[in-house]
Amino acid sequence: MNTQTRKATLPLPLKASVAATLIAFSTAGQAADEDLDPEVLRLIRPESTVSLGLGSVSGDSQRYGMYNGQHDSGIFGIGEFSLVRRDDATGTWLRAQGRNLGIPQAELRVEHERQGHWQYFVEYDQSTRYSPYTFYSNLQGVGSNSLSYANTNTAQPRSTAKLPDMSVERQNARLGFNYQFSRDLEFRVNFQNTEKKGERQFGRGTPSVQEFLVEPIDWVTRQLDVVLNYTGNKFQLSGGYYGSLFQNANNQLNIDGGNTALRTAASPNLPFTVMSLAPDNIAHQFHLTGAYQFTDKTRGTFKVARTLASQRDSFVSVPAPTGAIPTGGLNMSGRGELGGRLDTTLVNLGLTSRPMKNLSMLANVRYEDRNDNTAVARYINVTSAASSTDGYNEPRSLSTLNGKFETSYQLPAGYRVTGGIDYEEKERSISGVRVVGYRARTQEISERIELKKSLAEDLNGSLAYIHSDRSGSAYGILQTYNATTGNVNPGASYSNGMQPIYIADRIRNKVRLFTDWTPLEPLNLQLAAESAEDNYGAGRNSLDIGVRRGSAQLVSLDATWAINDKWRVNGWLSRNVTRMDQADGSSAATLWDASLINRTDTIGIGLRGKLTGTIDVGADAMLGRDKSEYKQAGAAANSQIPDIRYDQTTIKFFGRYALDKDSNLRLDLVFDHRKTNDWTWNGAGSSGAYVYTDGSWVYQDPNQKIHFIGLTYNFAFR
Amino acid sequence: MNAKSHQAAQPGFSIPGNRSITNVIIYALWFIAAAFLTTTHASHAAENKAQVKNGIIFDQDAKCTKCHDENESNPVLSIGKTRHGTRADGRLPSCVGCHGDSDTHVNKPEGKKERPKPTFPFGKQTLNDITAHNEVCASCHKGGKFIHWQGSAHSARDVACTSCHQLHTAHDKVKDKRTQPEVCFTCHKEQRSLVNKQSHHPIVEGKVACSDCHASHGSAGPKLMQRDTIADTCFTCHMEKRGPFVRKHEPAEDCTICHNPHGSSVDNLLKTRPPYLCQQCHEPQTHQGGISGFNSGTGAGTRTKGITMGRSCLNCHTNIHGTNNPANVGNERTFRR
Repeated sequence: MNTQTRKATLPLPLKASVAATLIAFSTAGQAADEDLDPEVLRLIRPESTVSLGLGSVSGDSQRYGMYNGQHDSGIFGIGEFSLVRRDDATGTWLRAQGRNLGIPQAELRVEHERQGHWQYFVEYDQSTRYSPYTFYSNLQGVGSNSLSYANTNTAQPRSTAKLPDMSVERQNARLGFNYQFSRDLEFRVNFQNTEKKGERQFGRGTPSVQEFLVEPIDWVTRQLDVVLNYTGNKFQLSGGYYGSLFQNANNQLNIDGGNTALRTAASPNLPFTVMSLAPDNIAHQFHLTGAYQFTDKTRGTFKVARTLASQRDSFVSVPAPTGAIPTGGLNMSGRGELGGRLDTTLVNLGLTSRPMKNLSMLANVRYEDRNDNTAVARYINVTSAASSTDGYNEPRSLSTLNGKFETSYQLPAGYRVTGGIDYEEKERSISGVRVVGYRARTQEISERIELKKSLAEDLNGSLAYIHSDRSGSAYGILQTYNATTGNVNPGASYSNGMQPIYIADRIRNKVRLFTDWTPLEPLNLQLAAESAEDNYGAGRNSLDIGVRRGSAQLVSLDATWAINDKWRVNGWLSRNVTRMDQADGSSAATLWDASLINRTDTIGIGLRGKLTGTIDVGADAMLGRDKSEYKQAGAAANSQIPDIRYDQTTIKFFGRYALDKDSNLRLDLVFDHRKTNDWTWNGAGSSGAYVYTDGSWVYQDPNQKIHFIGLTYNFAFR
Repeated sequence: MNAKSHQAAQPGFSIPGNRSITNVIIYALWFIAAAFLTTTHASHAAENKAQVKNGIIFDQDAKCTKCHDENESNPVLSIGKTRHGTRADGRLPSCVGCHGDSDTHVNKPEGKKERPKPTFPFGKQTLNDITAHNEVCASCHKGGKFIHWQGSAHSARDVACTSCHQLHTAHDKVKDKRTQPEVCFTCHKEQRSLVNKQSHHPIVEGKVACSDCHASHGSAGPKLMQRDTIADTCFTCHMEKRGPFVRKHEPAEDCTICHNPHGSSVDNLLKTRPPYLCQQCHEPQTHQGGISGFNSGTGAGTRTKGITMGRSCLNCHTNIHGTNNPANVGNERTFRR
């Protein structure tokens, strides 16, 4: 684990280059347009800004500082700049931008462009995510791919050793270049290199033993985008190559020590002392997109793409069990790597037309064929006469066909009616001995109708209704494999009752309302309301297990009021409620159901104003109240689990004092309060905390309060 | 057995053995770029003498700018700070190129009480004929990333270009990732609520913008995705989940089956808390159908902490997106090592 303070620092070369850039953008030497009034020049000449200051955070913060670079308490520097210079004679821009320079979220970009001719840029973006939890564990080697437990007992006492805060830092570098050969022809290339380092929570376990582990993150992602664009008057074409690559410095995690059941499994089982991590992979895509304007009212578009993705990373070393090696060896496939290959073809065709002034139409057909050509081998030696696997890996291919037709007609009196039909069909390969419900084909058809009206110049509204119906081919029967006969056993095995949510029959009805009203010139009101109901129909058997019904409602009201020339206030409130009713159990005696309800109320208020000619102020408040309920019934009626609440209050204030036309001092104050009774790790009431078998445990501070104060000096120049 | 070498791991455009390429690129190019800018600055400044004929920003723009200065109700001069106000770019349309000749606006007809609007006034008046206003923009912005604009959800829903973009200002909110979400939230209210939940992408923190995933001007992917599918768009940042794996979790064809990328009350952007999430697909064959509860023990039986607390099912099934472990053992199918 990286225990260093993760404050952003600028190494010497970077400091020097930033200094040189500042000189380049300084006003000295900039030619003035002597014919223009200085006040006009202020308005039309690109402006550069620099901000320097200090900030202070009152305490270490798990949630507030998760992404904003203010995870640790203390004082830090605030530095931002946006340097822009344009040579009007040639249209040549020089831009340099830096943000968040005092915290581990730094952003830097330099760009040089002759507008309409060429451009190149270099960009750096640092993004650090801290875990919102504190970890206590005796696990050794955290941050590396070799972990160990000093003890090998069945269960360990609860650890008192606090691990350093876990985080993952992403450093992103981007290079770009484009060149305009002519008015119609442009070449673009972008290269992005992302290094991601740090650690995150991991684990291993069996039904009776669960141990805490930490996954080392040391990844590199590279993406290359090369595009040639032709933009003619009637015909446009864009074609190129997109390559993407992932590399992991660690393809396996090694664990010494720990629980006996995981550490020294006896043959035919294998121990959990080696865990595989994400494998290297690569994909190449060639694509061509185009459009043709058939008439001034009709336009056609297309895209074709072919992607070749592969994964040939070396397999991990499989550890040996106590006792005899399983028949077929530790890695029965005999392969050193998977031979993973996914070939994808995409064809997309679109047509838009406006045959009459008041009538517009669009149609779109899209077909994607993802063909899994991964090598098939037997990885697992099966000896059972009723096995849930035949031992082979199971490539999964998927083809998706989408069709869309929509027409819109402008009626008298400001009404506009839009109707549309969407169709989606998915075909999945179904090889292998399955343990989860499956069907080879699903199709969904959606019908939409929307009525819009400009009720008056200051009142607009729309009302939409969408109905969808998803169904599919018959569910495949879950059957066991008989190693003796080499065939699947006839008849169903397992419960065969679940409709997996992503392929289940479903009828969806959705209504959407949106209005925008300006009753007075300075006042604007918006109302948005949505309601959706999902009905998953009768179950596959009398138990009706799996998802049954779902619903979602949203109501949101926004208001903006310009009180006068100096003061402006805005506010919004939203209520978002989702519900899912689902059931599970293998018999009537064990059948239980649950209603999972989440309700989120959010309120936002903003104020901007001018106190005097030199002082302007602003404030923003955000209040969020989130409640999750898990209403269990049936066989689970005596096993209720508590609701989880998560409340957030964030209040921000700023005041800005103008020292002169181009410089000011800004004071920022933030108060952030997060409160939760989340029992996920801390436990609730009599449950006690969740403690891993190895004694590790995880803690979330249920009451987090943070204050921030920042003072910056800002100046602008042209 | 430990860290592996990447020397011969993959074909392609990788740079073998160099894992600090970010730093090398950044330091070197910042320095080169800064030095270059310093040296070229002087020559460019010397050229900065171009004069505009009968106007302030463009030739002949006095027709407009004689009235529209910053003291007028519709100030326009700040466009001079932007790409659209870069006079040396011969492709640019000038005032009348976007707003039309607007003869009656410039020369108010006698007898008219109010001055007629320009041919294409934009602003609020765009609503009167969004298609025509958008066609003004599309007359230039029609190639490259704009190819799929016509037929896109935004175009079909009559979203005006100026609903999102501000042209007469140096700071177009929607082009700045810190301020872009508030523009999108003008219509997308549910997403505004979701990004403020406890589990979220760093959108409110200004590190991820809507346009990192969505191509608002249209795309060949669903939901205006930047790439051709939802999963391919997610893989641009989360490529470790791409595989293919020896054992794959089949619903990974679409990440949004399990995750809500805009925000969630559950860690890791999960739509529903495990085990309920997992119980939406998996048959209750052995322990999968267990009831959540707080009985002691970290086992996986019904009402145990093991299936209810911590990471629930993921306490054991830790490689849930897929595993590349070739181990010859039956339970390897279940993403556990």
